[in-house]
Amino acid sequence: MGVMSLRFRRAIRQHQNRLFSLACNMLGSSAEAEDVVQDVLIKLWEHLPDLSADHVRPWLLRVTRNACVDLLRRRRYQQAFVAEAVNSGPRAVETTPMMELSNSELGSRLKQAIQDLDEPFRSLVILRELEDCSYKEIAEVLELSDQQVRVYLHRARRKLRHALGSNDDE
Amino acid sequence: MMSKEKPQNWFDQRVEAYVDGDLDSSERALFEARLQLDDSLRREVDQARLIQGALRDMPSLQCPSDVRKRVLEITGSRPVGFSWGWAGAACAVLVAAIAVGLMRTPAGPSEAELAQARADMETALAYLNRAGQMAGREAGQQWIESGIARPVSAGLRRPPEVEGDAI
Repeated sequence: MGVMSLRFRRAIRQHQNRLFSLACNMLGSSAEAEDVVQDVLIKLWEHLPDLSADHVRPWLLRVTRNACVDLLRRRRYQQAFVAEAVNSGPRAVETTPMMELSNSELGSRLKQAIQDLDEPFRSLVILRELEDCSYKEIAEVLELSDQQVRVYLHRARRKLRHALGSNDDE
Repeated sequence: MMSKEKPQNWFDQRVEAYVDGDLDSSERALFEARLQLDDSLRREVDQARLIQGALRDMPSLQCPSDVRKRVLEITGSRPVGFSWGWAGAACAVLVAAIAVGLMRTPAGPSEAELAQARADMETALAYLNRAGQMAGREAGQQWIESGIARPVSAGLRRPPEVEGDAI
């Protein structure tokens, strides 16, 4: 087995769970997340000779995130088309105060609220809060400055707080 | 007090920064002074902490082993650095080069052209044959009329010889 092949297998072992988790949280669908991760890892095989060891993880996160954003864009377009066709109204919003929710209820509402965030807020919350990436790493993945990452992240969490019903003034 | 001069949304916009410890000392002092007076702001801070805790508690997900297996199967048959995109581009360039080469080489007749030429030649030969037959007939007639030739039928019409005359 060649050096590249060993390096590739090691990279899969190291990063597959994080990539799957990122894709799953971005897309809210494990089946789609599997497809995205598979495609991203195949792309890694194509680009591995050009990537130094330090750049593999940020490269993988960036490519996975971009693939998810593309998929979400296509999905949103399809959903808009279907919604227009059936003339469906807006989704009903639950009004239970956040403090009264059980952990699992809060978790599921939080997941939905994350899904409803626009980019780059969704990616920021997932990368920072769920995937525990550093500000520097997020800045590299999203091509933002460290300061922008910090400010946008606060804004993203404020959006979540408002979406979960504590404040409607935004 | 300074905090009373700030609008409500100034504090709301800083709840997460306060929870993360990202406010500078003067803003932090303002924020904490307001917290003492404002129950709704305290509730927002509690909720921000609750959300942050819930986010951190979300379980990490395991990638199904099938994905790794499929990826290794697909990449196992390709050399590292191989990309279908690049391979496709290389094929396209090759096809274009062959096409240009063929356009520059003088091309021989195609099967269809050969068949057409053969049909034209047969038609022309049939005309020549027919014209030859007609010309032959006309010439024969002229030779008969001018006495150069005698029609074959003239010999056949000769009356039979009488036996007595022969002696």
